[in-house]
Amino acid sequence: MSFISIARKIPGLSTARIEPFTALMLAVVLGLSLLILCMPLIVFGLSFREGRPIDPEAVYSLAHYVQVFSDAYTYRVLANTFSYSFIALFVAFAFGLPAAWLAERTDLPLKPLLYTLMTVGLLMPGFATAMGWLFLFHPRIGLGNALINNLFDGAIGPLNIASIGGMGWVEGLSLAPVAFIMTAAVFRAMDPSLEESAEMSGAKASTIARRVTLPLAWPGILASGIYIFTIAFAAFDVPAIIGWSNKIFTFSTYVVTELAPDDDLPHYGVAAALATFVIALAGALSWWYGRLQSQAHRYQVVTGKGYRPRLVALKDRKALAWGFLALFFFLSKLLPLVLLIWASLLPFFQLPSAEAFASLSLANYNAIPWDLAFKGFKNTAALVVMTPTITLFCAMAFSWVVLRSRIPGREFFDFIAFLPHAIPNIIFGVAILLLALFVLRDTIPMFGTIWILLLVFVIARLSYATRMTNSTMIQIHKDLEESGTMCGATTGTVMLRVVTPLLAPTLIYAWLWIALITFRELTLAVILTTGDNITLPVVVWSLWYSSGLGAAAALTLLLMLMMLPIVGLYWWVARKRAFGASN
Amino acid sequence: MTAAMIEVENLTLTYHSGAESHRAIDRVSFSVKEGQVYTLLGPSGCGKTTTLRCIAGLERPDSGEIRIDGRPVSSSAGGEWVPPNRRAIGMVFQSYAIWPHMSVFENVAFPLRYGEGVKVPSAEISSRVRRALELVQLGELEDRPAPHLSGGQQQRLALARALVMEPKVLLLDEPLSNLDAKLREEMRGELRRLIKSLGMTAVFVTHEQIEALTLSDVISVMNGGHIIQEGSPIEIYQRPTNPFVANFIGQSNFLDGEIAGIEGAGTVQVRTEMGALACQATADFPPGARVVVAIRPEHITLSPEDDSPHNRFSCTLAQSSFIGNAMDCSMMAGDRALRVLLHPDRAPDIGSVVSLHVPVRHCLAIAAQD
Repeated sequence: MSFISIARKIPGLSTARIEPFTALMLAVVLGLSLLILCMPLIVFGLSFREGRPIDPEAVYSLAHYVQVFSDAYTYRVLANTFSYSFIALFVAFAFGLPAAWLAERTDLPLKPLLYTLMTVGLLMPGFATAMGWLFLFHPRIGLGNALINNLFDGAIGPLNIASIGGMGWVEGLSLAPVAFIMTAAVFRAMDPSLEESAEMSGAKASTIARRVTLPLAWPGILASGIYIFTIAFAAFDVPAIIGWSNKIFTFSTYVVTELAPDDDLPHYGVAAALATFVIALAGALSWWYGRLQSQAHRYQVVTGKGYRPRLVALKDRKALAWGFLALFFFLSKLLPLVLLIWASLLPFFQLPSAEAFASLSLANYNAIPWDLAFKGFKNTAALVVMTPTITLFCAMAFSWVVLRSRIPGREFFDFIAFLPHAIPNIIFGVAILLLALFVLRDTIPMFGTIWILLLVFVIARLSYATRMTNSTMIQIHKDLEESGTMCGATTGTVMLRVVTPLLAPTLIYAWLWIALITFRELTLAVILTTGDNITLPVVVWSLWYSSGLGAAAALTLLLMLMMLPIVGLYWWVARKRAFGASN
Repeated sequence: MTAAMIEVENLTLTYHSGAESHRAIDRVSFSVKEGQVYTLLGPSGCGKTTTLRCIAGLERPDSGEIRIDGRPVSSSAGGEWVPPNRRAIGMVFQSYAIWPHMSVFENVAFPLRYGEGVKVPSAEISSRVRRALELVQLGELEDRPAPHLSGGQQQRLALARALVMEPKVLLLDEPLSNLDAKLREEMRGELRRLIKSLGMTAVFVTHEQIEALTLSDVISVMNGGHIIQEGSPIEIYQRPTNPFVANFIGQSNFLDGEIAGIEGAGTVQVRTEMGALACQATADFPPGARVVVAIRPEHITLSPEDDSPHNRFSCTLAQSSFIGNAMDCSMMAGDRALRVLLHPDRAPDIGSVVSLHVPVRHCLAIAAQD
């Protein structure tokens, strides 16, 4: 196909003149796609390259792979990571799945409260939950352990949170809301007539659940399981806060130690080889995920009709259901929060006693290195504003090219936008670090700047953002845009005056969500921070790492306080959306 | 003789979807004179909307040429291409495409504010918007949010938005299909009066024969990406030159036949399974030519009304159903069923044998399709 015949398939692009808007959209999509595709390639290429970034003569060999895979420690880390991720997945589903079922398929009272608590729970970053649980079940200083010791007189315990099981438990608690949101969507979308016809065939409730409901929900549940597993696999905060000081490493913390060893120069090649291995793993997993999705498509429980799923009557078990949910919120949010507050007010962590109460003070808040914290705050604030704005702009460009243009192979761009969802985020962190250090070192010196963080944050959130803009843009009738064109407006004006206002509710909702995630993002920031571009969560991590536990707890609480308005706004917008959808 | 406002020559467009391709329009040519209402009529998928979208510039034809007011806007040979937002055409979409986030006023003001190369002083905008809204009798509703309008009002609003720039050419893509039957009837007349009073040239796309017949100056019947017949509404209805047209515009009974003799003055004798029929020829047929005789159900009468010697046959009434203004009857002439519409008061009982008659001018001999 000639260039002209391709060009004529793009609205606003003609042989006569190219509208600036069209050129901009194409440039954004092509540029970002190229960058995303480059990343695995850079990781792959550099995993074979020996020596340091500045070496003029590169030698390519399998040395890094030999080093990684001949080291028994690698296998221990991988085994750790797998067991910890599976435990996290199990815990997340143990709480999230029943909660989703209660919210969507039963007559549970106070459902809005459940949704509110699940969203407000976002306020609490994973590293905050991890700190709280460490204070609770640290083998030596843990409050919970002291309690157990007193109760059972030393017969049981101490429980050690600094273990694979403990880390999995904490990560699972903080991922349970994700499991809740994803599986609630599966339950919500299910056509009740499928269950009703089973009932009319004379099946019992338990038979219907086993033979109809579960098989139908299965592809959706499994897909969200894979997603949660991938997040847990790459998560840095919980393994770092709990595992690091106790020398229990998982994949992400191990990669970070290879990139910044205490006693040596960075092992970029080893990190690249590890990353390549995980890309291969993620590739296999997302191939499986893709197969499940296509099966889910075949099952197509969503019929698009307006219907209300059948609600199971809980009768006298309502209190029991809420007891279960309350237990979850107590364990995952309230308990760690209380411990965090307690720790932040003490000179050193101790059990509640008259002495302890006497020593309560705001000294830790004073001890925060305010210069650094202020620098971190400025960077974080800038990123919280820029990341969602730029991500959504790029997402609109992708959606527009995929859904509105007729460029041959446009579906491919959608696949690229989805890649960051399938590959653990930490890989993109490693890749962009290598890109900045090895490839763009002199041409675009972005290493150590806030821009490198912005770039990787945008890429990491692109999948979520494009899912949101795609699903809304599909609903905007094409006539609405074409009538704008027939009224004489340029494609850019139509986008600004017609499409953007119609997308606005979705854009605001997605903006707030991405802003929240950006605020608490630690994993990617840790890899790419070098002083000047430090973010607030990284300041927390460095305080914790240098044993300033009280100050770290204090700063974490302040961070959560700062997130409060965004969470409030998000909750308000999300509620309005839910009501809008139900009307 | 008025000049041609829209000229379309040899327009061809093929859609590709994966490995499959579908030729939506194939060498379509026609021309619309200034001030005419020109209708593209056909079943869905016939290419009428694609043709309209090519004139609008929303589709780019593979080949062919389009000229509007003498100026080429799309030409595969000359390479000219005027993007849709610079063609200065008003268009009404089937879905109305009213922007839900704007008020009635803002919807109509959009072309004046954001049109490319349009410079309308802001003082003039409100007076022009009001004038357009008054034309479609929406004057009082200008502050209302657009989604709060009824279907009929939205349709008028879409029209006002298309008219506000006072374009010479107006394109209408099934604008009445989303209205209920009563409103549709009202709007048909109003639409034609409005277009005529503003002196605009309009191209109208529809699959409803009644709309086409009442609204148009010229109708083009399309099928399979081709124009099959072009003519005035009366010509199209009374002189279809093609069995497809005869059956798409109204209904027809078709009888296969062969020219038995020429009787002069456009009248031919056709040998059919129901005997010899005197017919109007729609072309110069030589004796022996294979033809189809088309007879509309409403043109068949019970014979006492006409004692002409021609075209008489006796039938048995097999079935009848009451359809309001007529009795829809199925008459059997031997094995052959004929559809006949009779006045409800005059319908005979089922099973009775009646003598039927068709006037020569309503028996059309049409060239048989291969």
